[in-house]
Amino acid sequence: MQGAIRTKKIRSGKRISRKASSNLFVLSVVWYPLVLFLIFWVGVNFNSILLAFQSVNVDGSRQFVGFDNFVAFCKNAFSMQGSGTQLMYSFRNSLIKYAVSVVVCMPLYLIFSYQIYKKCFLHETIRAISMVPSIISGYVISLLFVNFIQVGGPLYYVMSKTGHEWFSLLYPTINGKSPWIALATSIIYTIWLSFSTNLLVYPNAMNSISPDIRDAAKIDGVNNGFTDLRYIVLPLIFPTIETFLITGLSGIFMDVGPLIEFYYLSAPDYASYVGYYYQVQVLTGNVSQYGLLAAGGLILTAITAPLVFLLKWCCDKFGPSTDAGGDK
Amino acid sequence: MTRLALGVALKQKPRHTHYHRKITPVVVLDEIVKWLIWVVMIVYSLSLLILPIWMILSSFRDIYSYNLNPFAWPEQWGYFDNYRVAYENLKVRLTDGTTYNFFQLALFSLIWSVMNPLITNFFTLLMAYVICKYKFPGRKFLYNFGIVLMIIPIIGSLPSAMMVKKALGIYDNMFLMLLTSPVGCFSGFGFLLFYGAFKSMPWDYAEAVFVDGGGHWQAFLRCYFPMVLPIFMVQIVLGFIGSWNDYSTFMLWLPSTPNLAYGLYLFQENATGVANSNVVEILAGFSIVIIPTVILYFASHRLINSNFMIGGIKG
Repeated sequence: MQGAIRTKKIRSGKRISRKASSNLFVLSVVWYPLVLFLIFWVGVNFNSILLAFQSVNVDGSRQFVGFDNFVAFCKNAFSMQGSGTQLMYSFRNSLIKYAVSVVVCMPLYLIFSYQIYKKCFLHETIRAISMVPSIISGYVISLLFVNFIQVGGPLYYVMSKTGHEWFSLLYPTINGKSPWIALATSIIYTIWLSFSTNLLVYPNAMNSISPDIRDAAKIDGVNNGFTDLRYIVLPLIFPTIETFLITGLSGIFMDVGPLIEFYYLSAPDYASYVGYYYQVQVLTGNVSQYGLLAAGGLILTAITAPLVFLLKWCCDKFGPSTDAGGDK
Repeated sequence: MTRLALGVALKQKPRHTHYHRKITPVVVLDEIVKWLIWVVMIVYSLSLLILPIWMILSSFRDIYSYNLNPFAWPEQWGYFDNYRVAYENLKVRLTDGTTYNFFQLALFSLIWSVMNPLITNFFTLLMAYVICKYKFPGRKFLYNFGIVLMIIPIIGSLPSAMMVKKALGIYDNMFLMLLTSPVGCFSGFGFLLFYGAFKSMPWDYAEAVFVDGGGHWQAFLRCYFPMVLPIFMVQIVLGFIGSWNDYSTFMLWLPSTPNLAYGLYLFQENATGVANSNVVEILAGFSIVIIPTVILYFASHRLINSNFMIGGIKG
């Protein structure tokens, strides 16, 4: 990449080799991020592994407890009693949420993005409006949504005016409704807001497809949206799709969803996600649970990591391969 | 079909050739589906506007008329009382008695929103540059490890991170939080974005700078940084918007220096907010807080739309 080692004169009059100055430059850039990484990634995760085998007292002192935390977490995870209830529901809900995002959301993102890529009528406007949740904050939208559906809000007003019985979408069991309504509300809400980044990324990936390929495809008989999307666009943007699939699976148990905005720290068990469960435990300052949480984290990582690598392997092995266009 | 298409493409057919489209049942069905999807997209887009429009309209109404009908238009557009009350009440009182007013909350927001993306993206940019353009021991390892970091799920390290940050005095210290923000800056979408950009730039520019007596920093700052500036600016703008709206960092790591987003949350919840406020005042508060990000987005949306692209993750 660089030429042969030469020398250059520096202001002090000394001569140093190009290689040495290059190494100095690299060192001046990488040392700080690497130190931060060693402390806040390696150190934090090493400490987390240690925590998994320890119990933490209220005063911060720790005791070695062997595999007790792992056993307790597993018992909790498969129990519908006590603190296990929330954890059990959290697992179920996190899995459902990921499944919905892959089966329902991703096809919708691709279909919508394809229409924008094909420059449908008002495509710029649609794209700009889809960014609204990101611009004015998903957080503000969440709070608006809560105000919108609560007692006295517009939804309540419409339902009472039309003679329908109003019930809480966030706490449906209070009104004798199914707890699934709360989960459905948070999932539908997440889907509703999730288009912004996707309608930015996928059309841009589609735009990177070479015009030559498009012309060639037309000659080959690709004359409608179905075949174009199936045989030309999807294979060429597959690297982008793969990235979203993999990072989505990777974050399956870290996703908090909109629950902090909806419920702060008091979401009902049946609406919880694993990411939310962890965040609440830390926010409530429950130090005695840290060992249990760390052990649970190791177990969940051990389950998720192989799945992520398996998915990546499957995508690389069975996904469409391209040698032109796209950004693979 | 793709292979065939690629093969033909290599023969360099002239672009923008007009092809006659035969009207077949599939083509008709394709048109019908296209317009049906378009209708769904329009309905979806309109649904996204309902909440912001409702927020703005309601923020100009008094609470009595709102209670009678939360969907009505404002009786008078010059009714700014809710904004005045929101501005006065948008305060946060901490458990130790310290109270922050609107301007102090906005200052914390501004510091965090400007500095956090700037520091993080600057280090990400530098790491992408040296990993892409320089040969040094561990370069390939860093790149591959960065990819692995993106896909490997590390779950449950939050309690440990809390303990480490408290032990090092970083917890609840905005200055140190900012300084330590570029953790893992050789990983993530931003890194890949910069790396891809540098990959497409030849090394000849740097050689020219060296011939002129310049150093490595000069080569980076004079040649490569200007070329990657549009992508850098997109990352900064998106980072600013994200940081301005970020309340969870303040809730979790910086509870003593609340920003506007976190203050707004407390304001809405009345959990530790100073004053009780009604719905229309809360909606006016929301309207005030979103002004900077809305202006910033509309000033830079063309830049964002054209420069934000995510490719594959290849380790």
